[in-house]
Amino acid sequence: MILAYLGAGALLAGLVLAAFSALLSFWAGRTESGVMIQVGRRAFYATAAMIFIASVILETALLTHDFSVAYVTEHSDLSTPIALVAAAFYGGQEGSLLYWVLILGILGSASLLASAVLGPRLAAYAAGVMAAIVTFFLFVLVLVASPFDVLQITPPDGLGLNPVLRDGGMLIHPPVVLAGFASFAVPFSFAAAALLAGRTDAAWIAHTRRFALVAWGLQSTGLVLGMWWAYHVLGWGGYWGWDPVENVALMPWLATTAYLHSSQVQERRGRLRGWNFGLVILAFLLVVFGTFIVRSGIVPSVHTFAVSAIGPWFLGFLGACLLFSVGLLAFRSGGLKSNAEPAPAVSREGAFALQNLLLIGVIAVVFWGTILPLVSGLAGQERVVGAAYYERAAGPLFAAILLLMAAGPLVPWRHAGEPFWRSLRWPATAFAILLVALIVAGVRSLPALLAVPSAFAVASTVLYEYARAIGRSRLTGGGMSRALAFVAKRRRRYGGYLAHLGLAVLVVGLAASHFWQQERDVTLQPGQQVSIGGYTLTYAGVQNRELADHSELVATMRFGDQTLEPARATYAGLGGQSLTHVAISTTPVADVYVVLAGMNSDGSASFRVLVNPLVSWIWTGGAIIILGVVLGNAGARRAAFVPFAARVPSSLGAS
Amino acid sequence: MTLLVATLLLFAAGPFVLWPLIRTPDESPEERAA
Repeated sequence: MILAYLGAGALLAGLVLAAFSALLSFWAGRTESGVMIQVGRRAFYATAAMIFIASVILETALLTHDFSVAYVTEHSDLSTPIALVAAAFYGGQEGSLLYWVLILGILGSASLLASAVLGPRLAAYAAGVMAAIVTFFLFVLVLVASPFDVLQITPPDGLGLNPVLRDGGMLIHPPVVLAGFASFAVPFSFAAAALLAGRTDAAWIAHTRRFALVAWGLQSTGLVLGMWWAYHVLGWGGYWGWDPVENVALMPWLATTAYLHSSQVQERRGRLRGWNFGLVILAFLLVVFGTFIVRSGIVPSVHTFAVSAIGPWFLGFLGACLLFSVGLLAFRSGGLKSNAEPAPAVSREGAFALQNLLLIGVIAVVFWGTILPLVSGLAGQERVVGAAYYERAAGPLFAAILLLMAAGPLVPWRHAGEPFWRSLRWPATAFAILLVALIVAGVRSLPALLAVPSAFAVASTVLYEYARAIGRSRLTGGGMSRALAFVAKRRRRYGGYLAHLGLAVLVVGLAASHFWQQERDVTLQPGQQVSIGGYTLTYAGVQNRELADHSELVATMRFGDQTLEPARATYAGLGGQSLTHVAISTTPVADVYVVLAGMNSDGSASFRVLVNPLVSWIWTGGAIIILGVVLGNAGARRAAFVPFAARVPSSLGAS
Repeated sequence: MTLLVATLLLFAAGPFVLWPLIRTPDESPEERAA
């Protein structure tokens, strides 16, 4: 019980410090008081320390099975494996909010420590905005949804973790995706601070790009891990269901993808200032919107948290953030205008602008599909759209983005001349070869005939760019080591291309597993076989296994020299809740995916067997994307900020 | 009890947070200019 008081006390102290930090930082930024700016920043660090103390206390309460704490009782029990007990920290509503604000405290502190280059005023406003966000979360954690509520009677055991969460994926996916969500607040804070300080040059971009990239990298990893978990644990044979919770994780990722490209236009050419502010703000607003959707339970979803009292608070917070952001953009709109003439349509600037518009289009499609139940419910009849809507509406936009990815990296800044048109032959040839090969192979699906050749065109462009880098080094008399040095020196660019390559690999996996998936529902007696997609499986029998926290009915399927064991787990301690354990045989060519649907009274077993081509390419592509982000930014020195106007003559900036 | 813990933690954090003020009792003109 003492742990609960210690934890609640730490959160309350954190709330006081965060509110103090927010108010003082805004005031000190306005009056440019150097000492008070430092005090405000230190109050933020102290807030982060309080959140850390509260987190350690909650984890201690979980690991010591302190069932006097309501959160511990509701999300763990004595039979749950200890690693999953530790993961229960973020497995429930209150704990996940605490984790959210812990990440913001850590990343926010890191960003403030590195913010000296921006000058005290901008850094003070950034501390103020971040502290204000933290204040809201701590307010909710202290007064509305505390993880340290105490039970009047301490039960001997807890209720346990939801069976779906009792998986190894629980140790990776939720912390990464929650960290991704939290990290979008850092670029937002610096963008808002730049607007508050009237610093609409590229200073904030140079500083926050790395944090935007951290957020984007975490969210990319979280999305892929989420797909992996859905595929391996939920047992429906797919990995993406256009569920509202998936959608709200995708939208800020799309907005930040747009920002990471358009920010280059501001850095290189001084354009799109207002647009870049808008994208960073949009990404954060989408995060708050997503948190509201997930936390309030207002939109039907397979994995939202239970309907709770915090929904209205998050709606209010969303409204406040929206008003603040729109007001700030409107207030500074005069300073965001660029005097530069529009760039030609066929130029790097034009490609980025088009890519941004397409990504915004996808966000709009996903946004309206997500909130349709809410909007239509208000009109009297709740309507829900399925995968078909998203595929029809967003599919063509994704196809256009892929084609743009194939051509975009080849387009030079400012003006595209003859060399650009010549270089297009590589992606065009790759596209044509794949198109013909697929048609010869009998493929007639237009989306498949567009997606797969486009992905190969993207890959060919990336390989062409790498070959060109090696060629340039050879021309200057260097060998492979010189080529590597050339690429390493421009690692941001070539890391980005590696991420493009990863996306191309991922798209091939998505397209193949979506368009060429095969599926059979069968009922088999022991010894009987099922054939699908050229694979033959033999059902050998079933057995019952008793494990620490559940029992499993395990079917045995012989598949070549492998044994697949799809199972159904039953958790007696959780009111007999059951869960499917999928058996998957993975090769680079295809996954054989077996689900035990049920056992019948005559001894037969019902199975759902799927052959999912190239699914492993999705995970490989995701890993390449992350590798590209890491290699593209590892060891990069923090560039001392040089204002755009100082680097580029004004005549050039206006050209 | 929660209030007591919070108060103690705030007291503990005080020297760290207020150190710039302790170190610099009066803000110098240079800092004001910065």
